[in-house]
Amino acid sequence: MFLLALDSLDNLEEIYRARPDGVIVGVKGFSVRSRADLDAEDFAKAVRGFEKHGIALFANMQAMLEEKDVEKARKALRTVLQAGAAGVYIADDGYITLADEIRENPQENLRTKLIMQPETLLASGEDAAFYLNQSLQAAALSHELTLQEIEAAAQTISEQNSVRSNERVPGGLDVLIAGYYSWMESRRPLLLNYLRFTGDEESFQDGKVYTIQEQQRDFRLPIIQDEKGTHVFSNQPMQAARDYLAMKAAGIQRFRIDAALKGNAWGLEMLERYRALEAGSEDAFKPEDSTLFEEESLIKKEREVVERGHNRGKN
Amino acid sequence: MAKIELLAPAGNLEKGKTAIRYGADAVYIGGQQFSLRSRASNFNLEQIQELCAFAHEHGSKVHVTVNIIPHPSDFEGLESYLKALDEAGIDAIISASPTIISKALAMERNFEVHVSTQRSILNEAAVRFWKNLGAERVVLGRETPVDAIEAICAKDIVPIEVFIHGGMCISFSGRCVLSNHMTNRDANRGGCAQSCRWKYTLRDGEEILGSESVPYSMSSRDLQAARQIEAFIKAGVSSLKIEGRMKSDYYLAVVVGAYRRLIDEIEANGTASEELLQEVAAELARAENRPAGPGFYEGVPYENVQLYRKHDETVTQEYIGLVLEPDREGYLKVQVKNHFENHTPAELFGPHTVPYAKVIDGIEDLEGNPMEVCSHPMQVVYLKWDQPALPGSMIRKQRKQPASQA
Repeated sequence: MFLLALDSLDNLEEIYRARPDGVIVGVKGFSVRSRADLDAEDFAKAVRGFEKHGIALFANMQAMLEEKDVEKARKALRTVLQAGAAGVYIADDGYITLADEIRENPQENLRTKLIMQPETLLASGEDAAFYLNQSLQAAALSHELTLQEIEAAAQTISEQNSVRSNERVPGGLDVLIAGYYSWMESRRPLLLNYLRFTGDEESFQDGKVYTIQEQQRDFRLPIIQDEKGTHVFSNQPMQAARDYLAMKAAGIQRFRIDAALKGNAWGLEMLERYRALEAGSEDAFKPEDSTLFEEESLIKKEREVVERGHNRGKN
Repeated sequence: MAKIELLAPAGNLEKGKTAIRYGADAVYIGGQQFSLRSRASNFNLEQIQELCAFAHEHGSKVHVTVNIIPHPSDFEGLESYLKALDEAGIDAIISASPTIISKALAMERNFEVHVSTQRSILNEAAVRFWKNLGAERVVLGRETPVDAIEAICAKDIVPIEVFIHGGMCISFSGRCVLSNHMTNRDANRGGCAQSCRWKYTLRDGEEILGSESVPYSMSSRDLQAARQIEAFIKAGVSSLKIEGRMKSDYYLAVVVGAYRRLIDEIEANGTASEELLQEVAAELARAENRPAGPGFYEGVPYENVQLYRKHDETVTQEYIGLVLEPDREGYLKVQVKNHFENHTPAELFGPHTVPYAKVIDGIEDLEGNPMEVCSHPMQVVYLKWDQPALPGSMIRKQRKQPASQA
């Protein structure tokens, strides 16, 4: 299953023709890192439009939910789900409560429409399984994992399924295989703050893509400030490349391509290449195209301390 | 109304005891597994047990952070570790991983399970999610404004903890991996390199924006919420948390002592005078490593709550000596902490002792030889002293300029 997060709502004909299994569009006022947003009220029409072409519509409501916005979020979630959205990506646990509260009958389980996608917080199969066991549709793994860790996460969920004999499969895991992703999410207006401080406020435009470059490093990070705060993106798009096949072999069935910043055409090119890879093409990606972590980031000092302690105990 | 808890950090056993002596109702610590702040000298189980015994003797509590975001290889030993913490006598764990929280909630235990600020909980719906799973306290995200805290507390869902002092993540806590990608140190497993505080060049295309002499940075001022304490107490917040497991004994003594004084005043009289608020702010400023501000408590932070210039971050600590058990009439036995000289204008403060000024007027070594300069940290000396000073009190150089609230 390939889900394409759109970068814009222009030229949808090409999207219809390419027919990803689903597209992800932001809900205005509640999305984050999305440049293709719709008002919640417009989702019904959009769902019908994509469905005509066999494409499911998913919503991005991944902005952190502030207390002042809870009632508006409740209404927007209800509207989007009533519109027939196939799922709603969230990053805030509050939406799980809201999904319970907007049910029209007690038998209905709207949690099955939610996908937990907190970017950095689900780094294990165990933590992803927690959300699947809460009846969520899927849980998205963080991007700072090695292929081995992703496979281990899939294995963990498979083992839980065999114990519990329910229908959940590693398909409940959702993995980004191509596209820019979040390195930092702040509620603060960090660009405007700086430009005001330096007297260059007129240079700022809300929602515009700027870059920042750390002074000792040679790469630039896209950065956007909007009404939800400041968002720093990865220096380059994630690319699972041929590691996609190993993830698939591990049982993962749900893969996301994010066209944000690169454009829908790039997203469609990625879709085509991953489909070709799946069909057996050797040319779709080279082995070195994968950007997945090769080693776990950080060996914790405390782990070293504990291991030293254990070793001392053995001697 | 239940008394509000003052919750202080402790990077080691001595710091834990210092925080409790200076008035912390509870301290939070990291064990040697499953904890962030890898550079804090985390506690082994024997030390946790000792701190619990000390805390409970003094009517205080011990919370243990079990707050990493685990990777698949990180769960080994979790159940036995939680059991060992329970046996050590801890009062609570603070965790962000739903697996760790669930496992703790499912076990027979004597400690509470608190949901960490790493989950960035900003709304009552998320608080209820965790309450329904059995969590016994929620630590709100530092982005939660005062009116939202009041609204959440008014729902009386579960005890609420908020930060009142110390370093601020520029991001929603846990939602930053700059350190992972720029230094291969996992911020969510104790390795944050604070890459947000580094200097960057901001560009629009190829055009450099802002100022090359004042580079772009995402560094935040620290939090100082003395003026919000009254609102938090009245709102029914359960716990007021000070950040900083890596901070010094001196920092803990100053910050815990200052907030203790303020909380006691508000709980006794319903409010605090402007004079006391200014005194507390000036006192807190004496422990600053970097300028402080109100965080999100006076609205979304604008440029005056950021740090851009190198000299924005200055160490202002002036701690010169720790008062030991007395053994000589008319003298304080003092362990030297930093360089000072005879005739230095100083201040002494201590557990239940409001700071007072005194000029150092006579220093002797342990053999009774007069000294003019103390320049060897850890050396023990006598200071001629005729005013009250309990063991555990601290002496600092007196500032020439009065401290002002940042």
